[in-house]
Amino acid sequence: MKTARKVDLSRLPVEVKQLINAGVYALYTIRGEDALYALVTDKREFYLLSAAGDVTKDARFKDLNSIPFGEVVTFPDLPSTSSIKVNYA
Amino acid sequence: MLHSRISRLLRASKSTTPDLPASSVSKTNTCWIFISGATEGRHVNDIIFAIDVLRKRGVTDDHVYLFVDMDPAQLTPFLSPFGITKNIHSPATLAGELAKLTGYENAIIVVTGHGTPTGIATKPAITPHLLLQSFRGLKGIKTGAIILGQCYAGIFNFADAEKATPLVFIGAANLDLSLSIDITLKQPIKDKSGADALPGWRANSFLLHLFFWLHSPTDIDGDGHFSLMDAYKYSGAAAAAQVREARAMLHLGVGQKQAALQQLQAQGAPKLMLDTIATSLKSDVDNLYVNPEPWILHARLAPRIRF
Repeated sequence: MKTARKVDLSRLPVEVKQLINAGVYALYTIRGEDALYALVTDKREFYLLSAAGDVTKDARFKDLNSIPFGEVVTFPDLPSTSSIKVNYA
Repeated sequence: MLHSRISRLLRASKSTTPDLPASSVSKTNTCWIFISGATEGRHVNDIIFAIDVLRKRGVTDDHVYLFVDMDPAQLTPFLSPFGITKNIHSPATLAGELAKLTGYENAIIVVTGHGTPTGIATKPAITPHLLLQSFRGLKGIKTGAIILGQCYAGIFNFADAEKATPLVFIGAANLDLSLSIDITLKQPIKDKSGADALPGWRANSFLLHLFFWLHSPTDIDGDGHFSLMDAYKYSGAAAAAQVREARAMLHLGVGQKQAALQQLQAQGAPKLMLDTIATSLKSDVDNLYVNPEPWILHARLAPRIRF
């Protein structure tokens, strides 16, 4: 599991990052790629993202099955506007 | 005369009532089976949290079985940081895999992810008949429970829970949606290295509280036991309270999100952005207006399943 800062992938909208943190969308690193991420939505659509967070294309990755998924990425320092705090230890 | 007739009736009634099994759930006598019909990480997080609670109760992963409808290439990155690597199967193999298990007295099946009016949203869908058949295919099981956190859980109600291996059904929702709320844990779940790894997610509200109860059981009905009936009552009430708390924050945001969506549509914003706002808006509206109505089937057995 990879922790990113909220300022990373700076061009990815904060609303998308919030759904990533909620687990509705999933953001993965791609094995063997330093500057490419895979975003999978709740509707199983996927987007390749550049290091800056822009949607990009790469002919090698045509569908979900062709992507060597790496780590799950989240943005723990991004505050959620409607999250409820609960005790658990 | 009347007294003797009543006594006879009571004796007759007692003799025709089958004895219900009583069971104490221990670290090793119960298999915990998780099913998820979803491809979203939030439902995997529901399971990671539940396993964290079970581990804290001393249940090892040997007694935990996962049936998750998600491509292993996408599922493994969620599970492996938490050291969850055992007994992971496709839901399509549910009945066959459960039939192989031996050595347990109790089975507790927990369902998260999506549900539809025809069953658990796995591929293929798990119908009420198939789920009950799979439970009863477990060898040597005396009793147990099926806990349904998915939407439309009520289609699993009114099953024959008393005959053969008796069991309790608990539904987080009736014939409508179940709810998930964004939560932040004051103490994140740690990964296998001991680092904070899961600070929050959009959690299935009923299941979250069910496992909170299991983490710190309370005797709700005051009968001196921590039973499945207590778990049901606690989870239903706590989930409802949490949803009410969330509603106070959500209702203002809905109007803002609706306006933002209309503006983005007019501007011809990218599909990802439009989908994101629409998804967020739909979730907020569901949480504002849906009342899930938890239910329990074979309630007489639930106080006899103790933790």
